[in-house]
Amino acid sequence: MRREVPVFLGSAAGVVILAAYFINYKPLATLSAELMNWGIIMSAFALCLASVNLVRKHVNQIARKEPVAPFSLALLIVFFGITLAGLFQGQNSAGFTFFYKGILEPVSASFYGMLGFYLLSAAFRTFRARSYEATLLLLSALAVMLGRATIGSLIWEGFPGLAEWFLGTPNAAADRGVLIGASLGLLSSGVRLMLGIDRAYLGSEE
Amino acid sequence: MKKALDIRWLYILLFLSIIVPMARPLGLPLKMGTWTKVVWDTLDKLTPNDVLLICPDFNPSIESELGPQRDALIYHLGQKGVKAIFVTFVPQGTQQTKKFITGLEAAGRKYGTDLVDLGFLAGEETALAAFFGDMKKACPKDARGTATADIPLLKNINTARDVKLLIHFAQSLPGTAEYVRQLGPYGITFVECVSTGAMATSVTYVQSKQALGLIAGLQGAAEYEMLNKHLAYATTAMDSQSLAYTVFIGAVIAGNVIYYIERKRARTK
Repeated sequence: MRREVPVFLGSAAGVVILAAYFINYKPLATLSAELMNWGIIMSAFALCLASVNLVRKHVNQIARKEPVAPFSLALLIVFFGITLAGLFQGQNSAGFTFFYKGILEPVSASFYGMLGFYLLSAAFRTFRARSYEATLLLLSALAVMLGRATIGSLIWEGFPGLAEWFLGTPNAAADRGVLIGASLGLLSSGVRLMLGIDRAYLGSEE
Repeated sequence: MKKALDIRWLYILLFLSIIVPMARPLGLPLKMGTWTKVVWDTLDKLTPNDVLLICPDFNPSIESELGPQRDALIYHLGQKGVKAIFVTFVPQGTQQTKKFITGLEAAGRKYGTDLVDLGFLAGEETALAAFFGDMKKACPKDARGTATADIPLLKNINTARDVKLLIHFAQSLPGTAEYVRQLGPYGITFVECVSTGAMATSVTYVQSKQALGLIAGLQGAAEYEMLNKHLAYATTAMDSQSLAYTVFIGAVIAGNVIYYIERKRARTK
């Protein structure tokens, strides 16, 4: 019963929501909308649960005096600081703004900006024309980069158009193939979930 | 040829290519792209009675690319005087909504009659499906605590079908694919604002006309500023981006030249 009831509930919810797309019947549409609204509430609880897990993990790291304990402490200070400021003073308060604009925004943007240097290193070390296919890939990547940089239109005014063609034609064709394959996989995954064949979401038997 | 080129020289070159144009703009020419022009033309035809749905689903890490797009859109939409409903499906999108609302209020729009902030909905694609089907049920109150049934702007707005256009800023989930899937039943015009990295995937939906148009990366923002005839941060930053791209291209070419020289030497030995 412990595993059968959740499987039944999951399958029933999936079937109701799927059927509502194809059958024009108001009570079914109402039930489907209600289930999706419950999904929003459960997702919000999942976010809270994730926060509790995060705090627990980092408190344990501090308690065990692990090497990363100072970073865990910094995380918890910022976590509780921004949470309490937002809850008690509001999202427009000076405290919340300090944490958001003063810490989160610049740190997030800087972290993302560092990717540029990693990509440069990767481009220099690994982007080699070792084979016919690799050469094709390299040339098309160079064409797109030249098309997206203004320097490209200074060298040849056709580069921007060539970049758009690469993105709009061969790239779109390949992307569609991948999307169709992924969608078929998603469809089969959904059918397995709704029929209760795939029970990975229930966790282990122990 | 051991360590033909220390990678740190390339890092310094990249750093200089970004910093120098910021201090001394070069004014490199920028060619207009077709996808951005389609978006601008569509938004330029809007009237003050049109209601948009704007979903800023991005966080500060991508501020450098989507932030200028947001600012260019604020300028254009502020001039057109359209009404807008904001909702986001990522937690940090609420701060982006606030920036939008602050910008549009400065352009004379009024909260409640012209703008409304419905806050953040957890659940990604499930939340999208629920929200597009019945906005007031998914959001019984707005971000300021007012019942959505009492907000003048939302009086005749119940589903996604009731808005004129949707503008989506995409970073991760929910992305273009999720919006295309959930907007399909409503037949609503939909515009994507994405980073350069996500452009290759989003173009597919523009090609198939599931999305109307696309503003891609910092270049898209600069193109939009040119169309607005209001040059701002994106245009000045494009010099840095162009030179940085040049460094990348140079690094790829240099890497291949070194590879072929080393291969030739290995063969002759």
